[in-house]
Amino acid sequence: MNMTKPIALMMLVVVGMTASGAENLRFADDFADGNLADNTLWRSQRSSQPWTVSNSLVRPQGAVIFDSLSTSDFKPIENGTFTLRFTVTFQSPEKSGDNRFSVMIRDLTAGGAGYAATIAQGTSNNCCLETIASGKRATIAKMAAKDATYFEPGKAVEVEFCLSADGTLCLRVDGAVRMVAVNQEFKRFDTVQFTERCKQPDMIQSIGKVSLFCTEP
Amino acid sequence: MKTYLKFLLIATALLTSASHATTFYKPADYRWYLESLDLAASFRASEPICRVMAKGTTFPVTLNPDAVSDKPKGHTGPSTMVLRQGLTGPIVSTAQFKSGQPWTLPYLPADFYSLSINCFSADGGIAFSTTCCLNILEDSTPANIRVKPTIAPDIFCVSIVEGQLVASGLPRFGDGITLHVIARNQLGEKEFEQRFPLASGQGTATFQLTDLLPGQFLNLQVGLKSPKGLMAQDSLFYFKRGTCPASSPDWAAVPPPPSDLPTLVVHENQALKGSFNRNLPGLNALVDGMAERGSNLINLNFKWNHIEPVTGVYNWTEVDQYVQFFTDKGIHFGLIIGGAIFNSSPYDTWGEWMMDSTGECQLWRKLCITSPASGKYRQAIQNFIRAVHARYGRNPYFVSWTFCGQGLDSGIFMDHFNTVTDYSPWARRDFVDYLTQRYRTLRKLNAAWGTDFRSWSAVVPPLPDWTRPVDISQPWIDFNACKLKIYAESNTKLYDPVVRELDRKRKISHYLTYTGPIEYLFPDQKANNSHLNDGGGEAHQMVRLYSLAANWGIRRQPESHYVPPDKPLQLQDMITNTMRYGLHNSDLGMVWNSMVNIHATHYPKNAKLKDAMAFWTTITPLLRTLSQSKPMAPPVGFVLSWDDVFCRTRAWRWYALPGETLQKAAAKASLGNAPWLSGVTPNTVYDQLDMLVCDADNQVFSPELLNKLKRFTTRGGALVICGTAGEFTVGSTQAYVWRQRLEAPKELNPTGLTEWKLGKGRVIYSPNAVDNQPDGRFLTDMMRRCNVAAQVASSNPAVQGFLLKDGDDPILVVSAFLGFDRLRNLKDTSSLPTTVTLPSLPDGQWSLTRLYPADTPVPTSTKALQHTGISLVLEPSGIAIYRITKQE
Repeated sequence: MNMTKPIALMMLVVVGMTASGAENLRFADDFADGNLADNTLWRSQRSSQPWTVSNSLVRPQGAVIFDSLSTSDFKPIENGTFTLRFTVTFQSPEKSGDNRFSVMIRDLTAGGAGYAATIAQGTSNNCCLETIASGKRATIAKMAAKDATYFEPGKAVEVEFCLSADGTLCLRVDGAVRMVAVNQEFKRFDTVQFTERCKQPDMIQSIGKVSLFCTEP
Repeated sequence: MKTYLKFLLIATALLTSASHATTFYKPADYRWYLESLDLAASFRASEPICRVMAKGTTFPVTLNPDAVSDKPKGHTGPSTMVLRQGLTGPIVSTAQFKSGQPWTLPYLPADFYSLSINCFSADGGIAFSTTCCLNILEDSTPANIRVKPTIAPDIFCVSIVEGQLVASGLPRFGDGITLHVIARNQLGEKEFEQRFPLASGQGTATFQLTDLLPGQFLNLQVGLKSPKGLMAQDSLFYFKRGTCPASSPDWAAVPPPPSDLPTLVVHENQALKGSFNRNLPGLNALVDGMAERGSNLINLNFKWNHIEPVTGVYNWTEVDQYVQFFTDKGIHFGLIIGGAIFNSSPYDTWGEWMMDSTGECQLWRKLCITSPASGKYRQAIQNFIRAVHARYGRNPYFVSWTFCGQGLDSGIFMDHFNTVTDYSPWARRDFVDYLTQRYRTLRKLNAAWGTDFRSWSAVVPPLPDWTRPVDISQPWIDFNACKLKIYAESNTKLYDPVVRELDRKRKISHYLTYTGPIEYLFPDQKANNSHLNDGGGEAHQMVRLYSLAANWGIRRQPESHYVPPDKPLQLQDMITNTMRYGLHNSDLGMVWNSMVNIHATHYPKNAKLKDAMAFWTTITPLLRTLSQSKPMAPPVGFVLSWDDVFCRTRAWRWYALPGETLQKAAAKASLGNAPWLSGVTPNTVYDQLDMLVCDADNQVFSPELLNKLKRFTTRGGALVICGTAGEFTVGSTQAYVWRQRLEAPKELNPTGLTEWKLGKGRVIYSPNAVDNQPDGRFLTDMMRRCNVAAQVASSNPAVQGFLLKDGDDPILVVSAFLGFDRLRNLKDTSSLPTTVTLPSLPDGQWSLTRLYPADTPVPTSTKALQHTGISLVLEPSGIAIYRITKQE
């Protein structure tokens, strides 16, 4: 059953919603330790080209298309709620759907099923919310052209990707809602993953101050 | 005259030896060991949690920062240290050290400590953090040095007080500073994280931690963070005593097994570490393999502190799943418990390490291992047995307990030819207790020892004096007697009574075969019906040890040495050894102590393992048909003097037993299943023999052994005594006491045999040791001289034969046994032809059936078997088994 619902009419309602219940921290890593092992264990997709930490930010080398960094180093969320916060710093000013990154929250015990959000530099092109199931991604919300966000190169911007108990999946950039959908297909999450397009070596984004919460009833 | 002179010289040497002043152990002023701490290592195969990084014997402890980490790069700032009692105890001191200077620790009384260390870079950030263990084992520093350690108010550290986190040494200006708590379980999985903002102006603050369930045990990493980064961190354990999950699985709902175990059990041992779910592929492959191999029992080997990380905290979450898995599969299981190698005991039992006579604690693989006299260990393991029984005692598939001993399965005391243990403070305490019981007063002790100890607390054990050929001084005799007491108290008197108090039915076995004078433990084992276990059933020394067990009726559980058991020759030798003394009192096993998933990933590709298992799966069904077989050896026995081990070799290990040459000669004479007897072997065993051989390497006799030899001879036995056997006798300064006791003639032939009568029997003295003749002729000559008929003769001395009896049928085992040591260096793989005859077979017609390798029966006669014999060709370590059935 496709639980995704049209979102346009719901936008106003959703934006005003506040989460009920207490936030329960699952992990927080500001990369201040200078590595990907202490505090929270992160895994680069390729050990030969690891993501590197510098100045409390983690970034890929830019040479691997769709390079990814993931962590499962937290107690899995079982109740279908999450709030994932992080900062993103774009390096390239190029407004292009290729200058983008994705964040995913998945359940490895269910074949990596879960949700993804993709943001591009200065354009709504390729920006969407997706479900991931059986290895396939299905778009459940696209960013409106008016919500396209330009990220000042070199400046860390806070992003929040969350799923509330009522099934509202929402992406906020710098506090402003950019995409919303309603979906309750997935309840369990044990992995957070960042993927960068890296079409050109300078089209990389640095990630910082990652924290994941779930909402206690 | 020559003999007389030699005798005189030896007597003089003995007296000199006896009057040789004993030297005694001297504790160090301040003996300490610094060890690393890597809890995750315990989930890897055969890795310790702690490795020695530095050690010393003087106060103060001074450490080089480079010694505690392999990554001190960037450490250009100061360092701080938080010292805790044990791994889970209170903070006893904190210290700060300037950059570039060695760390000189404050005075700490003898105890086990953990050190949480932060090393800072020049900009104030943390360059690295680590936790180490510091064990102060000996402390005789003067009182003026014993200054109570202090806790500096400005060093960040955390502790748990009534479930709350108390942080001290917080910065005065806390704006924007948070306390970040990361809690991980033993598998390294995060259970929770918490962040607490700090208020300004508080040096100490308290925070409410997430509640724990009873039995939960977490490692907290607590970071002090400013917006700029990590300022300091500390780590500690957070736990709640109790049991998790609170209830054990409902074993009452499990139907009883449809059948009991067979008489001869074939077991497999599997180490189990980590998450059940992750190990499931390997477990399924293991179970499939067990079915193919025909094994009927799995011994589950869990790391003790994966279940009980600190005493009284029991987490059965993973173990329940493993046990449920085998229960659901209908597989009988045993539990391997105890032992402390690789730091596997609860963390709060650590520190009572074994020590040798030089004060060295790195006694096995350069690791520190637990003393058999450790009181903490003993208390903890008994409680653990009770907890295991409470958890799994009702499981109908749980059939046996196996105990690993104190240190490790190849040694309780980690002695060697140049190393004697145990001189640890705990063993010394037991020694003084033993002496106070034995002598009652210090005056009597000093009189017996020729010493001048002024107080009981000053009494220390004697040191081994390697310049003496033997040490039969009273202090040394007492030291060994105390070791025997500790040996029993840390094994058969430790585990068995607790199990039997709860569980009269299940089997108990002990990994003790290798450990030295096991015969002293047999009375306890008889009383509690406990068995003997070992790894390395293919070792040639097992012949002697299995024989001693057979004498006492102790059931044996030999196991293969190699992991995986992929060496067919070793397995063949193990089968030969197991069969020698009959299968009526033996089981059989193999060991898989690698990570369990290897059963799914690597073992299926191991061609050698497949070959080995092809042999195993062929031979074990045959062995089951012979499970009631008993030894049918000629009435010849061999002497093994434990006192020779105590006083001459001074090494309590399997490889230091006397009888090495005699055993080789016995194999060549096809006497490979003749019994071995000692001074503590029951007289009933002596009474079954007609001839007894005591070789020259039994240089030390005890009065008890001498009494038994005299009794045996006067009752009609023939005693063959060789060379320097019995040169020394415990409790006497006289050389060759046996000559007087056994009424030897004054002159003994220095070049040939001397024989004389004693009571109804006779004594034959050979001035030479049983040398390593190529054909074992000395023994067969002696048998002829003593009118003892051989049962089996082999034309090739490299191939031995021995008989068992299965019902009315003789079973002939022919083996080109080599044993563990020779197989390791096997170069000559030539085939070994032989003809085996059975000189004592009663008259009649027989059917001869080769059972292994299987062949069809052939009719034969006594005459043919006595004279023509059976011709066969074996490969090295090859084995052939025949059933000989009387035809009506």
